[in-house]
Amino acid sequence: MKRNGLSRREFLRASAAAAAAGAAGSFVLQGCARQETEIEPYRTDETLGGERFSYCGVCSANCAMIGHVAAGRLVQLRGNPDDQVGRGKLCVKGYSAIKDLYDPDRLKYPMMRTEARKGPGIDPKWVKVSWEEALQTTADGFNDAIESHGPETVAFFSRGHDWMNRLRDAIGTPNHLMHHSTCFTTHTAVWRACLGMGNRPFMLDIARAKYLLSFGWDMPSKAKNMSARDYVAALSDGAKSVVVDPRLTVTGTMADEWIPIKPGTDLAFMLAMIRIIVNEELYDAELVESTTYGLDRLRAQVQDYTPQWASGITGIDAAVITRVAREFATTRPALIPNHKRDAGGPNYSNSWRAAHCMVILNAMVGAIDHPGGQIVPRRPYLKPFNAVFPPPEFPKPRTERIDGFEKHPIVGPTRRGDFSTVTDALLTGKPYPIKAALFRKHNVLAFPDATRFVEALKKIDFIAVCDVWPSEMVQMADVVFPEPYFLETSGFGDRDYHEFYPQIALRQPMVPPLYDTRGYGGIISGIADAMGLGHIFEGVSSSTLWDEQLKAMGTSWQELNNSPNGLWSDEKPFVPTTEFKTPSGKIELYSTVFEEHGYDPLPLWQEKRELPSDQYPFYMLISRPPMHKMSQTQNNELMAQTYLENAVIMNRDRARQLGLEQGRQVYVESRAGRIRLKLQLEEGIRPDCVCIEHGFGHWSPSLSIAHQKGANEGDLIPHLSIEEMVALKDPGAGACMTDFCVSVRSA
Amino acid sequence: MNQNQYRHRFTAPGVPQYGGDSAHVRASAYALLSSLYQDQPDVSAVDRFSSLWRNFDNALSGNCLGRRTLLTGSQFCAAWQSSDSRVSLQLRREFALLFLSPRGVQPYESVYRGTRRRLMDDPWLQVREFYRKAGMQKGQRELHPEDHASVELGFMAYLAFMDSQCSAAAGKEEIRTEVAGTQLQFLEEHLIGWIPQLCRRIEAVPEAPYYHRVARFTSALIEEDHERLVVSAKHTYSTCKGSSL
Repeated sequence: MKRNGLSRREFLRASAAAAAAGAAGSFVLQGCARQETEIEPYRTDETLGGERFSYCGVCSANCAMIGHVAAGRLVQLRGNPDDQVGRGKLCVKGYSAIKDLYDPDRLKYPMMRTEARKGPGIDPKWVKVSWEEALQTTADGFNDAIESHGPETVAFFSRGHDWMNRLRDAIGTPNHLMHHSTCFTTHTAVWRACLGMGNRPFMLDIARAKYLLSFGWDMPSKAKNMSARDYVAALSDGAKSVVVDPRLTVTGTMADEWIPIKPGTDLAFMLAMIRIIVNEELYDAELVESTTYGLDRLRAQVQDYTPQWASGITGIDAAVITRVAREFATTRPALIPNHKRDAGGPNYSNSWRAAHCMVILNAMVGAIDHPGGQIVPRRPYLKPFNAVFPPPEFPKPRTERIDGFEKHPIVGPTRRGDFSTVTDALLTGKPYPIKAALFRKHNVLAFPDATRFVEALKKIDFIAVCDVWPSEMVQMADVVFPEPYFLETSGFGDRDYHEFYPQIALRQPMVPPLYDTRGYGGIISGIADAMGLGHIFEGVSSSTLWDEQLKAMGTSWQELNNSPNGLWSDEKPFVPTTEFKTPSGKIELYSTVFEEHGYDPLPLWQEKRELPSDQYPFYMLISRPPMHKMSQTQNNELMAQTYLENAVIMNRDRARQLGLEQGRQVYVESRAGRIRLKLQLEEGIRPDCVCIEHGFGHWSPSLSIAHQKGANEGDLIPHLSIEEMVALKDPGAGACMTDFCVSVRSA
Repeated sequence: MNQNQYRHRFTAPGVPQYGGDSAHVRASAYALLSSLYQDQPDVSAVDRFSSLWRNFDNALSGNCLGRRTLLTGSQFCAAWQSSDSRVSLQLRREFALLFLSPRGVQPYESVYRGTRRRLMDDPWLQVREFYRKAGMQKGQRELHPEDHASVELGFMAYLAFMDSQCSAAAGKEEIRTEVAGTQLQFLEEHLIGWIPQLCRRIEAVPEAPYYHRVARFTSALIEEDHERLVVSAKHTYSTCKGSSL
């Protein structure tokens, strides 16, 4: 007998014999399940191998990538060399996306909870349900809320999405929330006011800069591909880098100079710089004259902000401040790079003023939209969804928002919402309760005062969650919709983090979907249909949208799909912007928009909200490790091997004084909450600070790697009431993510 | 040739349909278990299987199922035999907990035998190649990957069914011997290498008492089937050796 079984030919012979006896062809097993396992004759499948084009979906840089598929399996990802963003490279998160694709913990089917209680430690007792049942249950949850309590009692927690926006408008709810007030709305407010543009003003031409002055900017340690590489390129090309940061970051370790500033005082440092540059007339006079507005008023405003004054606030020697100001103004191109949670991000109550100073300083040295500076992305024209599919008339929301976000007139129209104030509204039911909500890829760990937010979620009668992984938010859901991972999807996108000329990247599915998933647009239209709102998506499809958008750009889906490099480019010479969409048509150093809306039109010194006290003696800093994307990648096996859990980072000498040693378990406590972590001692952090990396402390038992690794620093971040937020008079409604102090003691 | 004309539906509790050959019992048992790992069960189908299993147990099991398989199969039927809606809900919860939630088990060979903890690792390639050599692949509508417990058990059901068809047809002993060899090879290269471990993990999940019975039934069937096929292969080998002498 052949111990090793049959050859293919022999087996087919056996199949033929079986056929003669009554069976052949497809073999369908009907057991006692609702579905069947089917096995069928082998067919050669030409689609099993080859290269596919996509762009990364881990972060918003969206580096173009090429996937190598062998035997139906994605085996390697590499950067697309013709991509202006990644230029042939990916970051560690992009390369390891294969691990996420094949993560066995992913959500696989629509599910519904059968356990009424919710919260950490409570098993939702999931059952698998059909798509129809999941969609109808969600539609019923929404319709019940609308009929019993009003359309405003339905809320969407999701990034803006054409399909979702339309369903939101059809329902007539004002309550749409995104995470941005915890991330970058302070920058957004300043750019909208001073430059009349820029929802995401993060495009930088670092590689050509000769002097880089970073106030908390630390993209190299966030592995933001293009920034990290450009930073290294600039340094290799002789640029000087000065890093002003309470902690010695990756950017700082590579810099010429690290200036360990007191947290939340960057504003004072920059105000003094402005005074020096203005008084010594070190600015680019011609450019300032032709492209900016309000220099004289600025000059008058900053006269009190001497280097000596700033020294007393920042803890930095006045001579250092003066020298840096002069170097910055006289070395061209010079740039203060910014990205989200730097000193101008929504960390402190004065961060928006720091962001304003960044714009002023960059404008004074000609760094706004000039080579080696901060660039306005050259985006292609993307025909809007509502232009392709004109919407029906929708009712206007009849109430204000629950989070008070419309009280901020500059960022209010973006409808991004406020993660900091929403918890109060949910818990108190004031101004009105939220009865039903849809969450998409926004996890509870991202909210200030996260534990309290979980309690607030229990007040919502019905929650649907769309996600790829079984996150903490999924654990709070009544219905779960599984979405495909980006490597299983198709589409195209421009990438405005690094767009010197219009360029779009093709996204092809690398492999067929592994599970019974649907895209977000399909889920939304399914819910609308089940709610009796099917007409709002009549004739709407992704393929038509893409066709129309690509046609408006002068190409087509077919042409893009046949592109030899998966890209469409419209390369044009770079011409600096000279006219801005502000009331004066110039970069407004003195912002008439701020003035009109009752904000200070020029940056003034303002202390941060909270200072160290006997009870809470340490400033709090929050960072993110390079191998993780917020709270999304902790379950990635490869990432976990390199960085499994966070710790409390403290100055080594200070710890010694307190009798705390490396690895000791400690409690970190703020007025909002307390977490327990181990201690990590470093020299490169101010003695009056502690730092915790974000993204850890997952309590979802369904994340088999990330579960209970580290702690969530979000539990320490105080939430805000609407009244408190309004009283801060921050046009960006920043959530004050690190404007609090903490104590550290042995556990 | 239109393959659809050969499309065949094999009903797991289908012994009466195929005339009661004992080899069909094995095929039906594999098919049943495949379905229980494939999707959440419903009570009526479980009841239907249970009544058929009693027939197996009483009359047909004979020479193709071991004692532990018969015992665990009967225990499974006894535990699952109920039309109570609460049981139905419990079964659905157990299925979701075990196979949809990572809190439970991950029914993929790659996760157990791969070099890394992820899907589509080398065992997936190997089992796919095994199917291909056998002239088969998983159905286009089948969402689970080829190394999912349900697909591997389904393939084993297919092999067992082929075995039964050969045994029913006169003069097919030689081919049946070869089919038996393929079954043994598949068991040894795949099922035996990880399914018992999967079953142990299922039994370690306290919230899944019904599926504990499925796990015991599964491991008993695979392990005893393996033993039986090894003995059979040795016997065939010695017979062949003897005749050649």
